[in-house]
Amino acid sequence: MSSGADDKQTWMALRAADRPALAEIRARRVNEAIERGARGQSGAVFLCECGFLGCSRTIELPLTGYAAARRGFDRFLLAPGHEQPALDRVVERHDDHVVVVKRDGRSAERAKLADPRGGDDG
Amino acid sequence: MADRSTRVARRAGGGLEALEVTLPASPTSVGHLRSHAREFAAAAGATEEIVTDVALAISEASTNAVIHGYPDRDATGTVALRGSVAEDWLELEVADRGAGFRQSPSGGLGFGLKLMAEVSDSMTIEQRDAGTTIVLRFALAR
Repeated sequence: MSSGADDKQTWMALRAADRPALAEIRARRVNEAIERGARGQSGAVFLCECGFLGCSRTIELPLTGYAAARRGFDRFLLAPGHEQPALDRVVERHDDHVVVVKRDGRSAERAKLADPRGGDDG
Repeated sequence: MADRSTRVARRAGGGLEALEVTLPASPTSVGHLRSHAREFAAAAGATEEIVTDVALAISEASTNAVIHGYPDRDATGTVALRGSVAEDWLELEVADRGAGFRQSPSGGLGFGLKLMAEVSDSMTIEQRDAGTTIVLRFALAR
């Protein structure tokens, strides 16, 4: 039987492991909110969707560029250098942003469940 | 602090129908806007949990407007809070006439936006030349 302290440590370890995925999902929600508010405009300034909770890097993109970056539930828009090699595989590299997909199944599954577009993979 | 302008519309049977408050873009306005939002949400019938989420979200949105909307501390800058209730939804808007998001690192902007996305049920961010408007919706019955 585990003690309360063990349970707390396990819970904290799980939270720490999930933190990058949760930060990415929150950033994606913000970017979806930006895209909704930008309809009728040519472009907008989006947030980097990396796994660092305090990241405030912004990326200016045409709306078509954002839509292209977001054409799959497991694709995330990041500022160059913000990818985490253990978690992210770069599939597109541009001057001012990169597009990554999740390496591990759990992060990809989380991204799919949280996708406001219903996990459409394109 | 005296409100630059405040308008509260009340339903005939009690409760609030609409709220509009405009204050100077100053750090001291953040607490006033948060209080107005809390009172509005409570009068609209929101649970204590939702009222807390509303207060947190409006605090972050107002802080972003003051700090990031007016990085040069424009003394004439304002932050407007508008609220309305429709069916089972509470809608709150925080609008500034500032610089908007910029293509550069901007400390703290992302943290507040992510928090707003987390505690609200729906969020829309409008970036225009005339400023930024964040629209937050909360389901009154979760």
